[in-house]
Amino acid sequence: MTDSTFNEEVIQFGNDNNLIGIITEPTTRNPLKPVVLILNSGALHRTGACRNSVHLARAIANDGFTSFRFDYYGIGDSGFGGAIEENALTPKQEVFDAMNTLEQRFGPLQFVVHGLCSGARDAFSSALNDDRIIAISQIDSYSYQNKGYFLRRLLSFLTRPSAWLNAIKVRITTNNLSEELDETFETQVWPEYPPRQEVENAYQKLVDKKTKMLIVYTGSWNDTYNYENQFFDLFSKVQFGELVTLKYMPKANHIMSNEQHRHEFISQFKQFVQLL
Amino acid sequence: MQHQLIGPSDKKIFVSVIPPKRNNLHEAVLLCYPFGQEYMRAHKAFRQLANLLSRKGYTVIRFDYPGTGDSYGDGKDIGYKEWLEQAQSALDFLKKETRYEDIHLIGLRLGALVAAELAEKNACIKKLVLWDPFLSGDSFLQDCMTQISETSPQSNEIWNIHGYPLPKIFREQVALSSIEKMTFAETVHIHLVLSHENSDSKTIQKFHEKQVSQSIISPANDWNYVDMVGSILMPTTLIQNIVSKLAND
Repeated sequence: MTDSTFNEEVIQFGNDNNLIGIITEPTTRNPLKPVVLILNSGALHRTGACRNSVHLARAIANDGFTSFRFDYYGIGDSGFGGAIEENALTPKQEVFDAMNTLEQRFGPLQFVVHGLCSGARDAFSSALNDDRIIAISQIDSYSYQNKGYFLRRLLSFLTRPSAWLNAIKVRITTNNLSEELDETFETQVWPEYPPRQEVENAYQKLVDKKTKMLIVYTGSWNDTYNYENQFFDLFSKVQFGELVTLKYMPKANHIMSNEQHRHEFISQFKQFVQLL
Repeated sequence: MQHQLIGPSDKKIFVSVIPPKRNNLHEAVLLCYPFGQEYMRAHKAFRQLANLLSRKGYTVIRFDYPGTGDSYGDGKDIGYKEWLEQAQSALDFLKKETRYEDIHLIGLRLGALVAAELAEKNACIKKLVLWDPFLSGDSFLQDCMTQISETSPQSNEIWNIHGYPLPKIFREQVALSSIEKMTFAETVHIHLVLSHENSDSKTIQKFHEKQVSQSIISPANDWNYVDMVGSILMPTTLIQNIVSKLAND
């Protein structure tokens, strides 16, 4: 794709114009298509790990979709000024501010909200609270160990002697890892996952609102997610029907540093939004 | 703070300009990011650095190289020459916006090599801060090779360094660059800021002895660490050292 298929512009918005985002517009914008919001993941700024948010924005512009990637308060180039979320299911004010800003520019809109990790959870909480969001895309969001998970993990362990050796080695060599961490190393701390039941109820609400969902899990989530349909087993009381597209990518890592995996996801995402 | 995309419509680069917050010194600083994963890890640290410098009275500009960050282009098609051209465009933009005669450069890792290239070619540069620098493109490439040997086999055309493309054209062009071979005007003061000393920093010291001063601020920052989650580095003490060195020297 050449850069002439889209145009990008910097937008400052929010309290005292302290938020910053980049709008990516196709050369010819189709006003009937929803606008895609691409959220921050953890402490990383709006370009996303491995520049994935930029790649996604420009790839969907080629299909006529406008997108907006922006930084929350205190992240990337945005200034401070936001409220602190009370719990994991409290939506981010910045998402609503972004939608309002775009509606001031284009008129009434529908939105698809995409996020990775904490961004995926933010997409979820935002959709629960705003009817303008007609679809969400979540990479590595809520997951919980269940019977199916433990069974597969046990089987995998029993059938791989190297795993036994590693387990023994880890027990011998584990020392106080925290002492080895660089003091300047910064990660972000998020609220704990709500109980599974609470998330299940919330998914039911999204289903009631007919919100479409693209749910993706990568191999990096194998501490809690290790088989294709685990999502449906975890939230088995919810009748997702056709609303959910589930994709399990066990060979991909969380930040999709492998280009092939990134292409695979983008292609799935494009398919998902085309059908909305 | 002003953020904008500048340049021709198909080659825009993203720039952020921070005006001085107090006591305008009528001097400006251009910050040069590192490559790839290191760029992501350093982004917040650069913003912090820019904020602290603006509080000291400097106008500060950050920019994304073509094919990186929010700038146009795909890293797969971009050479090192384009990085240098656009770094020069960012510097020209800064000069035009501010009309200041004294401009300083701060570059981290591969960004230090870019900053050194600019310092060699532009008479307006007064101070050059090289933060954990690579001595040369060769040194940078060797570092990349160490990282890719730990991951998957690479094609000769494009290396994938933890999710960031490094095309053959970039490698060929960067291999020609070396601080060792550069000549700086006598008025340029070079300051090495290191989280740890290594053969690259020692060689820079040796070849530009008369112009170089050095600070070593522990702990050693592991710029190559990749956790596949996207953690960042915020070496606060080191950033403060850069700011005070620049302001007080």
